[in-house]
Amino acid sequence: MVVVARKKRGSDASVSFYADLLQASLKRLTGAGKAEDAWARFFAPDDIVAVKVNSITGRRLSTSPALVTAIARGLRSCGVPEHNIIVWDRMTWELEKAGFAVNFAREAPLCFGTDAPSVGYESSPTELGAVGSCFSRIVTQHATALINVPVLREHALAGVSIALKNYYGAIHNPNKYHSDGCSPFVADVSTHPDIRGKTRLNICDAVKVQFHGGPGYKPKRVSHFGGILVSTDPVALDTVGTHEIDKLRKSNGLRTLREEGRYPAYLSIASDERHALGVSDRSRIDVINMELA
Amino acid sequence: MKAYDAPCKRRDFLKKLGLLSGIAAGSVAVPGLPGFGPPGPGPSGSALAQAGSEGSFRPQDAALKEALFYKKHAEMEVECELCPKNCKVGDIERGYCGVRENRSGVYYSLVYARPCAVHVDPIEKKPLFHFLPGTSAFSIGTAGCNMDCKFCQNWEMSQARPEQTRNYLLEPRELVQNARQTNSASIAFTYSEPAVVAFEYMLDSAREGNKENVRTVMISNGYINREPMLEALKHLGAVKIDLKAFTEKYYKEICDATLKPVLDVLLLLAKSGVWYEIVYLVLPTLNDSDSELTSMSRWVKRELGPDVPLHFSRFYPTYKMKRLPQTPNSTLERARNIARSAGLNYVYIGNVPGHEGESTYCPACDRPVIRRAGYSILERNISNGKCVQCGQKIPGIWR
Ligand code: SF4
Repeated sequence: MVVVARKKRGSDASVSFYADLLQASLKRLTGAGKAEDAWARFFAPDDIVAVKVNSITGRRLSTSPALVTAIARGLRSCGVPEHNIIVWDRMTWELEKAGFAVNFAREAPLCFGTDAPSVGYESSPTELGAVGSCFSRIVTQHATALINVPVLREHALAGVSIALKNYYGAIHNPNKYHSDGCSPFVADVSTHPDIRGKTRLNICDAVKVQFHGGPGYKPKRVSHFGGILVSTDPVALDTVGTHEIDKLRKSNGLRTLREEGRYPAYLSIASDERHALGVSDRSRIDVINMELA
Repeated sequence: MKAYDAPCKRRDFLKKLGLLSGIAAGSVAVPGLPGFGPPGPGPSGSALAQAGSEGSFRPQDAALKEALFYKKHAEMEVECELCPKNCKVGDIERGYCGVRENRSGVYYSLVYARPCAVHVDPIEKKPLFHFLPGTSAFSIGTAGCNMDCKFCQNWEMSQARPEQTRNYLLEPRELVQNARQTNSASIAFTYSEPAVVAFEYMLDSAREGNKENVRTVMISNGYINREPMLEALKHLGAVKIDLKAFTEKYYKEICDATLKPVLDVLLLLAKSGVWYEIVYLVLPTLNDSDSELTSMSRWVKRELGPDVPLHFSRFYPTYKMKRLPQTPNSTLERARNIARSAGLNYVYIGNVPGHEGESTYCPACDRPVIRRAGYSILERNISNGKCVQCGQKIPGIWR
């Protein structure tokens, strides 16, 4: 199931804006009556939850710090202490540039990159299909649970960069894996046992959508969407996200990714028997569209 | 010279280096670069563990050098024309090598004047056996590589991005000064693939060095496009090319690259007049069949001539090739015999210290003209580029 939750008006991208969307989505996703019960389906108070954001584009089109604050509140509501929450990406300076408050202390959610002192990557590569990479120790050693919080963006080489590709930020050598539409590499990265086993939620920040010219920020290719996409299945979320990007491409006079021969092949690879990361056939995905007042 | 993260006084650095440079064998590591040291050129610790402890490398802080050999396209995309990967790179993205970045449609090198490994090495360690033997090479390496060889000994720097290594700040002029002050006859761009990925840095350093009679040598995988290679050849003193194998299959499966461009570079070198040698790292069962070694040796003889030195090097299990055994001596000896039978005059065995295949033999009288053990020279029977025993001319750059 993928929940696409949007707000008709008031999309000021504030913490309460995101909190409303999150609560509604998670309740729908779990069937729980209360938001804290929904969070508790995924996380326990002793979890160390690492929230993987996407901060590569600075403030203009990165995961919103307000969304992450809303996520942290949700985690606290089910008993996860603040100091058990790590907001992270590849580089500390990229997080700062995207508006996150870097924090190594213990009073608030921690926030730093894999490059931070005493963090780093595993000292030898893990080989997964066509990929051989050192993974962030935040994924392999620090976290007991992961939340993947990408943005909704077209990508010139990958087709799209949403949930699956966001984990390129967990490897030391993403530059090696951009040929052939990033396939099968994007799918292979997510087969890492710690990514597969620890990722409990995917929450895509889709207040703004870049439908062309990504990953660099192109203001003329960015459209307001005013929502979030939430799923436990990263492949389904990416499939639905890709469909939304294509709708925006069409309405802006562009050809769809498939018409351009750039539809991400890694989606069907991710759902094959070997990868088994989720569902890429849109007709088999339960898409719940919610429009909040 | 400054350490990027941990500044050390240049005078202290040179003092220490001067004291240490008398060590004949192996590398002399630069003090203040923890994690990079003997016995080999590669890092002994984990360069990927984290960026420098004093703060992380911020590529935006670096004095960027605009890249050479690239084209601009629509939507701020660029196309790098430096190596056969010909990466198409969108805004804020990097090419395959991880050290060239597109910023708003302008392509930059992130490793210009930023080596992460600095050592004084014997030139024999490159290996270059017919180029200024017995001299030192001021040797530097940067992060990044345009291949991904599964057996890479230096993968912690070659497969890293510059923000994942501790980097020095060493401008070309300073690099030349350091080479002179350490009595190094040459500057070697080596260890990872700095020759290609730090192309602009290498070229500027070679220009500076040539003014001071310090020659620049390029230790490379030879995976570079024709035009940039021709440009480099105008400035270089010598080149060593790693010929990884003689099949496209091996290049594709083991190195994530292709063979043909490397052969093209060797053909260019043969016509260029620049001194060059070839290294062939022998991996048991993967590139050591009689037929492959025979085809390769015959091709070298036919296309490049009999006098190109060819080094068969021993492989040690590492990186993504930990399950393969190290190359047996017998395999290296078999390879050497095949190449000699194909008519090559100077065929060596590498990474086997003390082996007779480390020495240079006169093709006319068969006596040793340079006897070596490891990186040390034990005996020289060569004068003015000729065998002292029979007068046979031995090709190379001898001074
Ligand atoms: S030098 Fe680097 S960026 Fe340029 S084509 Fe080669 S791998 Fe790509």
